Amino acid sequence: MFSTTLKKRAKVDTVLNKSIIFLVILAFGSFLILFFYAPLSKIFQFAFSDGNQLTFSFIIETITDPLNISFLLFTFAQALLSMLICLILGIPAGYFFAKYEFRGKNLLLNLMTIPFVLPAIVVLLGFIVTYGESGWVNSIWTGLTGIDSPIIEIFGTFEGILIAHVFYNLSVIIRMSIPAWKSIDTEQINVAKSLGASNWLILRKIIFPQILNYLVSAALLVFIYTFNSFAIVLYLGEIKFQTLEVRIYKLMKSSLDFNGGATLALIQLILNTIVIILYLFFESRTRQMAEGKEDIFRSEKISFSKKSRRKNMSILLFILFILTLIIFTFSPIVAIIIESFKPYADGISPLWGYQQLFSNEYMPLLGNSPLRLLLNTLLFASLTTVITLILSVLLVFVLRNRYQSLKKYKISFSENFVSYIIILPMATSSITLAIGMFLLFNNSVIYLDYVWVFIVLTHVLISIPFATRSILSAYNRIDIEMLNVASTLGASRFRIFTKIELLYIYRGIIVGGIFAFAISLGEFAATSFLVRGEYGTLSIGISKLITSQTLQLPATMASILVIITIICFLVIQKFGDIELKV
Amino acid sequence: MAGLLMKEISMKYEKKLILENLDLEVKHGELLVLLGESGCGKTTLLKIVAGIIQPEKGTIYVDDTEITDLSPQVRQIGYVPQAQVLFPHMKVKQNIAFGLEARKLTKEAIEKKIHWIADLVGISGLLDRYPREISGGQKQRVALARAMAIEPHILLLDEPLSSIDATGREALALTIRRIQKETSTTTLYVTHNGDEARLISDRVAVIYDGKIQQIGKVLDVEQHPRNYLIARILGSPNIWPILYTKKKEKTMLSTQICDIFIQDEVNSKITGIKIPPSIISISKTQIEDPNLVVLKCFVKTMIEKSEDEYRLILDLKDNPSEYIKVDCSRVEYEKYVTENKEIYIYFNHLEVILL
Amino acid sequence: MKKRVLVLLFIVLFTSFAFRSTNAIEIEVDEYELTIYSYESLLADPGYDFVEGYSNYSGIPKENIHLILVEDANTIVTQAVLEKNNPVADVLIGIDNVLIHTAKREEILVPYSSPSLGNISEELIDNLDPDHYLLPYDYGIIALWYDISRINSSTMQEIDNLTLEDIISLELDKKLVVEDPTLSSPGLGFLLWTIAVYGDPSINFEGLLGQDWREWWNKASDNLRITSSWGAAFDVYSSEDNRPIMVSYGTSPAYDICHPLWGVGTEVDPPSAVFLSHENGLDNAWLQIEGIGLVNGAPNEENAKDFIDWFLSKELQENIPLNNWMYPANNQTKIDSCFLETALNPDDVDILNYLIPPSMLSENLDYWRSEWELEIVDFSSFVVVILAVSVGAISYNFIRKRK
Repeated sequence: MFSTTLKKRAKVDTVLNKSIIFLVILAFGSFLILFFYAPLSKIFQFAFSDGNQLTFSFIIETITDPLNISFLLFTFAQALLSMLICLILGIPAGYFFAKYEFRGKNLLLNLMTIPFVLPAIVVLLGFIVTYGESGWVNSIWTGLTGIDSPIIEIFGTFEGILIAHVFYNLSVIIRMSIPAWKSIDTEQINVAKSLGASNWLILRKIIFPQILNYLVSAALLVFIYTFNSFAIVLYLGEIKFQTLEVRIYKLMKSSLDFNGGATLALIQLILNTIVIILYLFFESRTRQMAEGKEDIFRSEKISFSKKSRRKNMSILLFILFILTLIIFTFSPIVAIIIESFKPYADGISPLWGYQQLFSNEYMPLLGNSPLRLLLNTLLFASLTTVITLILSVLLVFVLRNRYQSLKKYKISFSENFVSYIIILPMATSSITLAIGMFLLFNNSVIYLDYVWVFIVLTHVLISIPFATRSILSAYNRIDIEMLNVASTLGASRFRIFTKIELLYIYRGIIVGGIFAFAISLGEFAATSFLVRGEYGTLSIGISKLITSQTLQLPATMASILVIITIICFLVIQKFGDIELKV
Repeated sequence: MAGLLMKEISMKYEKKLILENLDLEVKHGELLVLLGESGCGKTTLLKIVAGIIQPEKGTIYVDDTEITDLSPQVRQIGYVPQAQVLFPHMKVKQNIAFGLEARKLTKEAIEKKIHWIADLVGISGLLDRYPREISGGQKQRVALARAMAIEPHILLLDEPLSSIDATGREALALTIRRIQKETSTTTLYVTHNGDEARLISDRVAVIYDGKIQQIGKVLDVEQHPRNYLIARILGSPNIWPILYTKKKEKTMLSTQICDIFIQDEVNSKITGIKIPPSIISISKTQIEDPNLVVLKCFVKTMIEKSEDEYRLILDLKDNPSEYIKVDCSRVEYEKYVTENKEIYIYFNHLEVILL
Repeated sequence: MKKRVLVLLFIVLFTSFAFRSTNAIEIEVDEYELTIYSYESLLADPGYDFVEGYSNYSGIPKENIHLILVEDANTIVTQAVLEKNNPVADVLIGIDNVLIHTAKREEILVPYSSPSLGNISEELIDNLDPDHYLLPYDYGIIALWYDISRINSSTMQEIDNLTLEDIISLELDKKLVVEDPTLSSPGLGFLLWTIAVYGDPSINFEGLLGQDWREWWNKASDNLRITSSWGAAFDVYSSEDNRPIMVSYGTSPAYDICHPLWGVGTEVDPPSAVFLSHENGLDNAWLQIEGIGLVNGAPNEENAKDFIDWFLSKELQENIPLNNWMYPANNQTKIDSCFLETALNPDDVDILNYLIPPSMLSENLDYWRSEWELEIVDFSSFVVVILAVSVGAISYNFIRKRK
């Protein structure tokens, strides 16, 4: 009485599904083993072996070296302070965006997120143009006051690094605190007021406990990003300030101390893993809190009342504060674009930078012509996108394959397996990925002649967590019951995938893909460690010119990156929400 | 012939047993209402029938064929989950066609089937709309149509009325009943609301503690619930659990509202009492009679059931958190009840139904 | 559907195009090839195209001569070490009399006794490397170069007779740009200058004054600008008004006077000058000798040797003074008179190099560099961590626990 063809199809379906899961795990596992775990074990080898036998002397040397201790403390200190400043500025800004509704709010919010997706080296250049000792701010200051010494010094100062980090990460807090503020029902506050609670009490007892989780996970995210900051600290820190990331780079690249570098990389990896696990914990708690909450929050229009002057003043101050943040956010980006048209000497055309793209004049310095660098950049980014997407879609397929084999409500082995092996790559810094690749492959023919393969692979490893997250967050919006219904109606696993799941996740795939593209586009740390000869990217090109007096050419290259990034970003905005999370 | 037969089904969730050696038989063409409180495992049971969850133990037969190991795709079971979960990116028509397309029917056949089921369910006018453009009740009908289109061996309905406005509930329930009868589809209908069972079921099965506790026609179960819990699940009025019992010359059953004395030794364990509204009388004054239970009350609300029939809801003076329902005639009402004045109700110990 | 095909087509086309364009410049195996590593300012200002010069001389097509420029000499060494097992470069230009110790230890070079050595003074060769791993092509003393329009003897009377100590006491460190000795060769030269003057008690090295070099750096570290390379230092020096002094060369004033494009000529007041340190009444400075070397396992060894011969020949050496702004090593070279008049001649200076014997230098180089870093690095971050943590903890407690 049951259709035999249906039965047969179902059997084939199950076998196929199982074998695909097996193949994906195999492929993904071997990818990770070859390009992540094997390089990582090489780092272990350098940290624990002097070539012949096991030794702990490197570990002991590394953790007792006063320089390392100092840099470790600095890494913590700057990450904590950057995080605190971001919180102090970002939480009220988030409140403003949550509370008030005005025209162009979303666009503004999106534009304010751009710094976060800009390549680090571009941010750095924008910073030098804006806040450098002969930059805009200091010129205006000198012009206004006649005082010769600059008001802001960004090179070799703690505050320079902090300002850059705040600029880079502020949007994370703003964006992530908006849902926090929105999660609080205004009725709760009304009720509390009616019960006679003071504003302070309401803040402490009603608001704070409810937004705490959101804020902790946002803060941890900023901590992770700044803890692993590279380009900004490499250039602004001069030698006085180094994050572990910079220190590892210098040990490996300038001092050729591979053992020391590898050991420090391991220490950094352990610290990162701890923070990532903490973050994942708070993030899932935030998600649980957000789940099942109806969208009850109502934004209001900005309005001035005739009665309360005090209230008007506070709104005005608020708007002023937001405007300051906007200027702070946009000036470096605008500065880069203007700088690219600013002739570096008399008689030079404003378009000189763009003309230089097609010349070979800077080839010995850049390793290639600027145009080739652009093509390299785009090529690496495209390859990274394709590989990342293939791997992440397959990964999601495995991670979310449980409904069919849902036995005893248990998380399947494959899901567990995959979610564990992915945490470590997430916690591994770009430099560590790069030195692993370098230590393992630096004598291989591919490394010597086609180093771009490893550059792309490193970019893939960096992008996968982001892309997988985007796709997963799209996938998680699918009601599992819907898939259940579809299967009771007789649809095969693949019909369900193409007819339902794919339609839900394709936005996630686009967002994830663009994310991978943007990451590869601006990746600097790993690329600069691995790069050889002609395989440079625009970021590398900019970095080679960033200390020169003539910022026109690097500003031109940076402008191109800015424009591509903005385009990517607008596409992301069109297709879905940007996931700032790792 | 058993339309659906389940034997010794067990299911654990995080080490807690939610179904334990459950047996259930639904006769062919019958509508069986599975009644239970939330979290009792009734939805899990539906999913097990649909094949979405594999039971840890047990066997399932549909029309005497074992389906335990079949995948949901081939079971041909119509499943309507609680939230209707229509495919939001498909029109109503495509939603209904989804299962038919999976069966590789010809276009004409699919078209024909869609129109047949749409007429039957009463959604012919909605075929070209998207799910977001129709009301909750209509969505439920579409979900029903989608499940019925594949001519399922079994139809599974999970709280189909829960997300519908009160006004539409009865109509939808009756539609379900009509279609089920017309197609004589074996149907398992899950709800927590006894009224739904009273409205459309052939039989009702009450489930708790992972087992079917009582099964039978609604009236039979209502009149002879096996215990207090079943009566409560069914939503019977004026029932109270026994707090404790005392045995002297008579047995005393203590409850929240009163103590009941019964003559004889009771063989089975008594879990509760039921005081049907019909056995209760009202009086304006205190009555002294050892055979009667007399309670002092205030009138809380009065509901006019008809011209001459009133239902009173009374607060107990001694125990204000409890209330009791009493039926009375208009004449009695006018005679005994004055606003803000206490009244007395009384009933015979022996007329109290023991559960 | 059509759209998808188009997109796919575009991707394929784009990828293949991009591939082709990167592959196009891939080095083909050819016996007429040569790869050179050097630092970015080599012969760069106003510029002598030595690649073209050598191409014309040797007949090797210009596009077969791959010149790869890195920031500074230190990077040349590290890059070569990283590629030690599979060398890419044939010739390294720019390793100096300090970095030679690292280069020798890492075995990245092989000795080559070029016939051109005949025209180079024995003293110079011996001071750089008597074993001929590295052959001198130019030399000059490290000196503190300052912009006279911003700082001069009328604003700072002592400028002609300063000691290193005076740099601190007169707060000249706030006006000074130095290069990072872990990354840059002139920076390293300056570090050794301070070590030679003050000495290092930790290795019982007296130096000139018998003190500790670390103290000078410790006092100066907060005020100095430290850049990664000479070029970066020059950018700061010329673009930032309040940094008019940088660690450069005794030949640097010649740059402002004799530069064919903007040199002001000897008749006019010089725009810039250098000062040395005058401890014990001497004119102290560190001598830098830059060398060219043949890579150990060079893929094109014969071409490399030929190039080195040419690089030390009169033809190239004549371009050194006015393009690389150093004294050419080849003593047959005719030196521009403007250069001779304005550049500080190492012969007129008390060279500090002799205070640090090569064995001591090679033994302590890495040690000194890391000790230097220790003096520079800011330990205040320790305080900041504690501060940040306590501020965080206090404010959390304040919000959470207050009754």
